Amino acid sequence: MLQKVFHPFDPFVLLFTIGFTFMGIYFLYKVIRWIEKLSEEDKELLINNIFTVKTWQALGETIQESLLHKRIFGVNRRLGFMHMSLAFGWFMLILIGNIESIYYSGRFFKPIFVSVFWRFFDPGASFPKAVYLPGFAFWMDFFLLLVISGLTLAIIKRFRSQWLGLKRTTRQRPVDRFALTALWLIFPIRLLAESATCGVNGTGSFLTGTLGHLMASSLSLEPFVLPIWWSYSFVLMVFFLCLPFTRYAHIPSEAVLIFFRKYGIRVSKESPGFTDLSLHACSSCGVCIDVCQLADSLPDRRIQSNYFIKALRYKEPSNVQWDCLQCGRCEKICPVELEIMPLRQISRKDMEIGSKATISGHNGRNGQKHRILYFAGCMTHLTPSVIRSMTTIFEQSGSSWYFYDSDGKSCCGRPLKLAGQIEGATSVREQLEADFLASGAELLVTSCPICYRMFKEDFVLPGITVLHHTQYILELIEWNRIKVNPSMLKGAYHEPCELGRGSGVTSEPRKLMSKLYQSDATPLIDGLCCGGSLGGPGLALATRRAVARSAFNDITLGKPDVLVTACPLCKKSFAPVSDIPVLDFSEAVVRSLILEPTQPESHRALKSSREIPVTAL
Amino acid sequence: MSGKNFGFVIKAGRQIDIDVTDSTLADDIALEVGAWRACISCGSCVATCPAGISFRSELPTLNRAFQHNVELPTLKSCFLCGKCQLVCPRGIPTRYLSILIMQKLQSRKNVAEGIPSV
Repeated sequence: MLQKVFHPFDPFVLLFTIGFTFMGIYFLYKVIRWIEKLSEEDKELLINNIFTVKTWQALGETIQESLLHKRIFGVNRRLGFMHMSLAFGWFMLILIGNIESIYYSGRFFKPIFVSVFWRFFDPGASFPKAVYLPGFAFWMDFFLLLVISGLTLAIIKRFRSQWLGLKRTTRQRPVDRFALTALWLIFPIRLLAESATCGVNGTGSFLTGTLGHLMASSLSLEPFVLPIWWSYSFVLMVFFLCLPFTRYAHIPSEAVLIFFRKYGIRVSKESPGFTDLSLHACSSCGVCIDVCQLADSLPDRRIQSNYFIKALRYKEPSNVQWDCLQCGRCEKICPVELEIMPLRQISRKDMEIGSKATISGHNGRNGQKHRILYFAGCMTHLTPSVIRSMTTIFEQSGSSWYFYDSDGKSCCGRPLKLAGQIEGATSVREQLEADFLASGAELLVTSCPICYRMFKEDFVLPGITVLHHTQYILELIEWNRIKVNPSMLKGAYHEPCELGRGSGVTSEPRKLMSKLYQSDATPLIDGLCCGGSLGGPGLALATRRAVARSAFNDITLGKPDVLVTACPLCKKSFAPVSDIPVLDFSEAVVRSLILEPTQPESHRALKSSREIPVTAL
Repeated sequence: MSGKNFGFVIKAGRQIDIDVTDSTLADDIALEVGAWRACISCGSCVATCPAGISFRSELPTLNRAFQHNVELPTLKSCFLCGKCQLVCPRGIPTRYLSILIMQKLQSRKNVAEGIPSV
């Protein structure tokens, strides 16, 4: 017995050791490569932040996400339980097994296999320790049961994904399936192995003890014990050997990702290391499939984010990066919080389009200063009624405003950015930025959510407040600068992707709805894409129409009389599939506006002295 | 040019000389976006373009592709805003076409200069 204490070894542990060592070395190599391929700024971020409180915060987040899977719980409880039980359960088995082995062997440093196969070396109370703690056996059984319950759900999910609340589950690559089989086998074999050992020795708790007792009473167990432990070690080896090359690479990668992200590193073209890390961190859980609006209209094209990420990771030849609408629903729901939209954008090749794009600039300004610049946006020029309505609203409010792109020759640069033409987008942005700042304006109002998002996210405009026209109109109404009479009709609001999910402007349009319509039939769903998005240049018109039609049906479930949106592109996309009027907010406001007689010039000057204080917005 | 006089003349600048015309680029693009052959040169795209590009005249240039060195420099000032696509009466995905043409031109240039494609 005493010999066992100091030399717990059996040849079967070698299989596990080979697999585990390989995985460890390979992963270490990967981490070094990732850091190597970071941009200089990102390396600096890493060095500057590693010894700060952020590391502890990242550790907390790792426990919360990599082990407990809190965010998946938020999306789908059954799926969350499945992931949690596998990850947290397995982690606790390792942790408790380790503590148990330290407690009984009295040695802190020992080969990893000793704690992994501890039950084999010590079926329970076989070591001369003053107090035997039966608690270990109970908790080991408890967590093994937890893992097995998660495993059962995983198997059900593969064959009946609806039972777990998923319409579709991820289609796997053959290597992934192989690793999945190994993973599925690990725990039942572990249960058998531990039960057999416990059955022979008459130990074990409620699970391994009972099963071991049953097994021992029906057959002579002795000859089976070693073969079962051999097979347990074998499946562990197979799993660890496969891990770096399959979706299971996410297990270690996700933790690294959380740390890097905490240090402020983001997906960019300059940091291929972080991009590669993000691709490895996708667990391919599949929640991005059901939220994708193209899942129904393009079922055979694997464009959903987990397929896209796989195509990038394994460098599969595919053209799917041009097919995504970039509505951002998958990015919002992603439990790993991968930056999917930037990943998509940088996967689209930069090829000089827009590199020579020039904006016309507002030459007609004649050196006059205006507090408000109105930037209609390219698309708004295709919906002239929006421009007319905005003109009426500006006139009625008595503001001093200037129509920046009245000639329709400016662009915010976001269409180029969405198409991956970063160079062109940057050039357009810099030209516009300089021109805006030179204008001396304090407020920039735009009618297009695409422009709004670009101004908010990418532009640096010190001293200029950027507002979408819904926010601006709401301010006007709340400050009594314009008056509206709520319509008797029932309205429903369609939230544009770029405004709601993209820029976080959610409450203002809804408040505006309540001021414009007496009954509001806005659905409680996350903003759908109208199909007109500039995100997916490769999508055919028929697909876009199909997306528009299904989105329209979902939005108008409450049978509204009028559909109100805040984006010229949404208006254009819904118009052909809608049987009710589709209005932009500006048009809806003008319809309900209580018109005041046009003010004489002098009066207007007086009025403009009581502009809205933009700082209060 | 010697030969029989048929009673009419073909000016060198206006003939399509199969020996020097390379239609593979246009064919490649037509394989992916067949719709571009449906262009009727109505000019809606030109009328709405904020960058002032005449897309409708780019397409015949592409089709003729004289002497392998077709270049469409005006596309470098394209904003990719997609207005032309929205107004196109023939439903041609002009925005994607713009990207595709530049992509193909770029890879040809890379091949010519010996740069491996990524």
